[in-house]
Amino acid sequence: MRVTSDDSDFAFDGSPRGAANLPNIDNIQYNDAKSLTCPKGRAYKYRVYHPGKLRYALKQTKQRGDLSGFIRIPIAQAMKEIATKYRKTVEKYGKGAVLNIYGTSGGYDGQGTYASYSNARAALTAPMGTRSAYGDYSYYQYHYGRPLTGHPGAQAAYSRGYGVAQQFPAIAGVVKNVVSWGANMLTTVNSAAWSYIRTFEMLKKRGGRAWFIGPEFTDTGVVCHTDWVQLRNYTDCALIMAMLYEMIVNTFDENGNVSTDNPYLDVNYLDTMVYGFFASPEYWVRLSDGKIFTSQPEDYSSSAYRHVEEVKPGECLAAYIMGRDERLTKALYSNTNEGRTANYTAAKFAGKDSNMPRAGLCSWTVKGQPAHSANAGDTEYLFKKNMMEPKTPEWAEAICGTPAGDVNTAGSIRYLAKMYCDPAQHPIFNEWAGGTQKQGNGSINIWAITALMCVTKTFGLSGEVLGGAWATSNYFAPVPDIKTSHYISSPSDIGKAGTSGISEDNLSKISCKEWFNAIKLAFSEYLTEENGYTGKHIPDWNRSNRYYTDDGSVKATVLLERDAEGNLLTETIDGKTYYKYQRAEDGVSPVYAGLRMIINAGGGIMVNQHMNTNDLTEMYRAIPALNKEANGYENPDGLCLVTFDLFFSPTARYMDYVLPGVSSLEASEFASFGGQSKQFYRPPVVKPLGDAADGWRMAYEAYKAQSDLGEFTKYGKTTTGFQDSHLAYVGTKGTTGEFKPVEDYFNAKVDEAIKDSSSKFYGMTREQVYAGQFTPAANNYEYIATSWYETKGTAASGSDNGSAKDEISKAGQIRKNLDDYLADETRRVNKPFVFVTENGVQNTFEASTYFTSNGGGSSICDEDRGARPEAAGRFQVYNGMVKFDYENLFSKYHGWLAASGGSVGQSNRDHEGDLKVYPIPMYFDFQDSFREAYNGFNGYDVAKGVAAAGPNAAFFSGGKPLTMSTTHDRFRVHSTHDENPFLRELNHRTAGGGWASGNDWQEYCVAPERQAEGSAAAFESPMISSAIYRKDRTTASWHEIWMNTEDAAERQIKDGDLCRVENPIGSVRVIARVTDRCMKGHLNLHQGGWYDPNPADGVDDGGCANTLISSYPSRLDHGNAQQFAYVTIKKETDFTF
Amino acid sequence: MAENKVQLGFYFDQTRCMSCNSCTVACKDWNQVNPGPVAWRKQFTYEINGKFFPFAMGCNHCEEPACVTACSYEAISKSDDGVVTVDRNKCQNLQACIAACPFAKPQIAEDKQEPNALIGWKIQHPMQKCTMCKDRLDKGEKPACVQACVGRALDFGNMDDLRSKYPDAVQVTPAEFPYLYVNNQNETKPSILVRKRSESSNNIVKAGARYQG
Repeated sequence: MRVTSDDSDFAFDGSPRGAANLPNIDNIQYNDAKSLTCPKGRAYKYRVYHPGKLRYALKQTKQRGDLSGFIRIPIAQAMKEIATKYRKTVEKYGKGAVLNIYGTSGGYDGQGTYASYSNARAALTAPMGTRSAYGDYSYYQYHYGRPLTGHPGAQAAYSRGYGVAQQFPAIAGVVKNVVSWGANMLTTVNSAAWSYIRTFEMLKKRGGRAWFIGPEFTDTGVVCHTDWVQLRNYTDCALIMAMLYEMIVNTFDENGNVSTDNPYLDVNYLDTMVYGFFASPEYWVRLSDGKIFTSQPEDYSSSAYRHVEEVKPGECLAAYIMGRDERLTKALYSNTNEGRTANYTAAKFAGKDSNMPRAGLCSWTVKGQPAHSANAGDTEYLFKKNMMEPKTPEWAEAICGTPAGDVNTAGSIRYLAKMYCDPAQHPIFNEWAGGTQKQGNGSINIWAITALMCVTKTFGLSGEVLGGAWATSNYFAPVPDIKTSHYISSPSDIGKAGTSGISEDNLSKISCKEWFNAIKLAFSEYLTEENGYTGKHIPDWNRSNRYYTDDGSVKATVLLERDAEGNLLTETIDGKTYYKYQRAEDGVSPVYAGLRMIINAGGGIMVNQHMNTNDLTEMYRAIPALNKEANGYENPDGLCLVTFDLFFSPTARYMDYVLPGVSSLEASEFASFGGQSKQFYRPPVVKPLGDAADGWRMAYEAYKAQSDLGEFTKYGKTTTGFQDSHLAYVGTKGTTGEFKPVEDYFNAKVDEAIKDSSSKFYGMTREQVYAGQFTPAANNYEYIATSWYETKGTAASGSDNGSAKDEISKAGQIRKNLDDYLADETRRVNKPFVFVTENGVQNTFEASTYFTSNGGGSSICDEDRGARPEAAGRFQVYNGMVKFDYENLFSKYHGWLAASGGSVGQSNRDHEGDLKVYPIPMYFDFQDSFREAYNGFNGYDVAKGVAAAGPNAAFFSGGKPLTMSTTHDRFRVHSTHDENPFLRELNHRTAGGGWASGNDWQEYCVAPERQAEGSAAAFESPMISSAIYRKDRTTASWHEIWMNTEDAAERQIKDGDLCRVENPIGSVRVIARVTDRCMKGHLNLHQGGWYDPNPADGVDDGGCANTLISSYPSRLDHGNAQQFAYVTIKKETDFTF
Repeated sequence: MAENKVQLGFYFDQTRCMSCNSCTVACKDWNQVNPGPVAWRKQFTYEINGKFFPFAMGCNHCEEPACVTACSYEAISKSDDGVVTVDRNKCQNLQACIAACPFAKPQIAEDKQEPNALIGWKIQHPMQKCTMCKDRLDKGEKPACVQACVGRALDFGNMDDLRSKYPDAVQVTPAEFPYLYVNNQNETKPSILVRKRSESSNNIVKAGARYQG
């Protein structure tokens, strides 16, 4: 077998692709984003013909993780047992105790109709469904941080465009600067790589500059960017604070007057359009005409007015930035015409208080005292010690590395500050990478970047969005042939089981990464030392609660009380209405439903791809395996973990049931790929081995099990359609009554098309049709934007299709309105701007939070909802909703469950009694977050809840830890493909070996065969890498970690040395790749290596990054801080051959 | 080289190579080279004086191939289209070719990567190298590496055509690309043109003195 890819130089209509005679620049077509196969695809034969491919269904009978406990069972038996366990669980706990976990086939759309196992698990959970989750592992904090300011350009950055049209402004030279706050696009998204390379090539050719700001100069940086500005990981926000400081001091003199000599900031703009940069009084704004009232209007109603909460002088962003610098305390709002700084908004504020300053001295508390009068020495938190420090470029340089420099030194902080403020350097496109937000304070990074864009007035211009053509539904990418109907359409009469389940309303969602915590909530009693659960890998968990994170979505998984019809009951406690929970036998404690069953349709989330592999696996081992006792699957209380997998991956090893999946080449598939918006059929090219089967067959087997179990009844309601649902699914109900492969249907369709003279496939053979379905699209004729306001067809316009692309966007029109308004002094001083409707748009950008996706208002106690701050209609660098949501979300579901330090909801307090979550994007020093996560504060022992030296305080004082990120790897991206030898050799090496020195082919992930049902095979190696287990020096290979040349020299580490990387969470063995592409102080261990703890010493020889990542949730939103680690590295001395 | 003969060669755009290794994997896939250290085409990002230079290179099918003249068994030959190939049946493990090639392109596998010798081989592991995918060229297809290049950094063809198609490209010489000459600096007239990445392609703004990292 060999892999080929689209090699056609001609489109479906016969036109040459990339031809010079089409509209273009410099005789080159830019809108041909034809993607070619990445190395993963090229290596596919070693995936299909891997000796470790799973062939049979397995069931764990001893202890999770004990390979000898797996016995082989028929698929049908596995399905029946899983379906039975599901029914028992939902009968007792409702659907909320079951989760179809995020991951392959479960996180994103369009991953296949018949090959993926989504349909199979939907069948297994068909009677009532499951609890649903919000967020995703890729973009969790991006989703949260993105809407906080309301900036329209924040919608589409992340280089994740949906059409090449977004690249044209860059290609055409409209974009002056691209600033990548991290970028790894070429590696992460192969399908977008070529279009991205071309865009940057042209951007540079036309004088544009591309800035890469980050700790690791990725391949994307090397190829695409002109400048690498070194910035330590996790410190983006500090850099931005210093840039804003530089802008303020170049705008206001020491007496608070706006300097007349080229001020950096447009103060009238800030007063008008940006909320919370400066202080502002409580006010009301009339939605009909934008008029501002500083006392509540008599005719106030919530529909006619927006109430905007006060931003106290000491709590605005500028107060935090300026620290003890007093100039802004003298910069008063004015209601008189004082030339350039007179504007309507300022006049209104001054009308309420003529002494109102634009900022006061910082008053956020430090150990309960306002910062301006607190003793900074009293706190252990670096960020609080820094509260009163002016956030100067020199302050930031010490933290970030980025040199403070001067305005003429390209890439220095002062240069960047001036660049952002210089209209001649606009438009500036800002993008970020996954790693920019997968941090302890990642959503704050995104907020800070968008705040920078708001403050510097970079919005509404052509070129503010840019994106590689992403391989999903690219309606304007030229790749798909979407205009023709050459495709073999999906048969409408199959794939429908016809079942109707029982609904169970008012169930809260759970954060997609909090499932592990909900398992702890349910099974806390088993997490004991006696059962082998030490808890030591979560050093900041004091174990006084059943759960680790004080997260509302987890606490909401208690069993709620319902009436006979299934409706939730409520109860009133202290004047607030909560959903009533069921009490346990003691009449007081709740019934901790938590999560008791998880079905994984593929992917490594449950061990490898979630934070803290050691803790997860300890937990799985400590909780009894479902089938340790005979017929355990009939126990509603037990924990049941199910996965579909291709290999005995780290995740499969810890499951109760493992179902043998197939790779895409063994599956019938109806799917889109390569940027195509339309799906088409692809027959299997290789037969699966053993009982392994594709999603179609697995869904059939699952419905078969449901059919055998019959209808299901709860809340007095009964399901329908389960009888023969399996036959309905494959379309043979009432006819043959047999299983029918999905290819039969497509073959019939093809046979029809072959005979149809109007069909494109007329006269072909089946083979020819299958090979000929892919027909490249023609070059398209997208516009080339060349002027500022032509931000056409952006997300802000609400439409990316049809005529919208030829019209000015809403954002572009508002910008145009704003520029006119600011230039017209009479209007600017006397008339409002925000909420005014002119030229067909209302001049407003609505900041929000990730409110609707996580339950929003309905999850908050009715009595509290009215207190939620409203959007100001201006860009919000202060957003009170952030703090409110943190404290109140899910309160209606868990008000009874008082968080420590509060009567209700999530405690918004750190151990010194100050806030954890603030309404502004402050820089939280990463060391503070690591000290929290690793229990390393000197003066507080989280485990004991008392003042004492933290058990891991020493980690921070000695050993000189380095920050470590876990960027996507070129040869794997995530964890799948780590088994592939063609790819392993590109990022693994033998100890002391050079490039491609390792070759553990057939010594890696080879699972033993089981010949008979019910048999358990002996595993010769408890490790996935038998080469490492056997200490074969010539073949044992370890994953590379990237480290800086100076850091390596300091530690006497040479390129190729086997090293130990450790922190209080875990330890891994890896090979040092010594390079200048990592800045000093920083390591990069590409994520996705397979967790492979060595029984000799517990060190992970698989180099799984998550072994070093704490369970610590991100600050604002309980997201996955999966690129957030602080570690030591040294030469390995204990492992000898 | 005689007037009437053509010289096929490669073109490499160093400004576009994103180090994805699609070329190196496609090469192994197409040419049925097993997993292991031997790879006919390799890709590195070289680090020279703190700057970064990606390079993907297989055999350069030199105009004056040192390997051909080094082999006493006449196992290596240059065909009329300029492609340099090894007849693995003739190789007798002299390894003179390996010493002669400046670029370390002739390679020998070990037992694990090449467990079974073919009938006709005189030794267990005869030398192997890039054939420019002669089997594909014969069918009018591009070499696997060129066809696979996601970033369109690779091209191939008659060297004269490549010179006119890419007028800015430069020859590979020890002076221009010292880091490619890993074995020796023999003048072999390699059949590869390169759009060279400039030293100033990336301005690196290094961490300042106040940084405590």
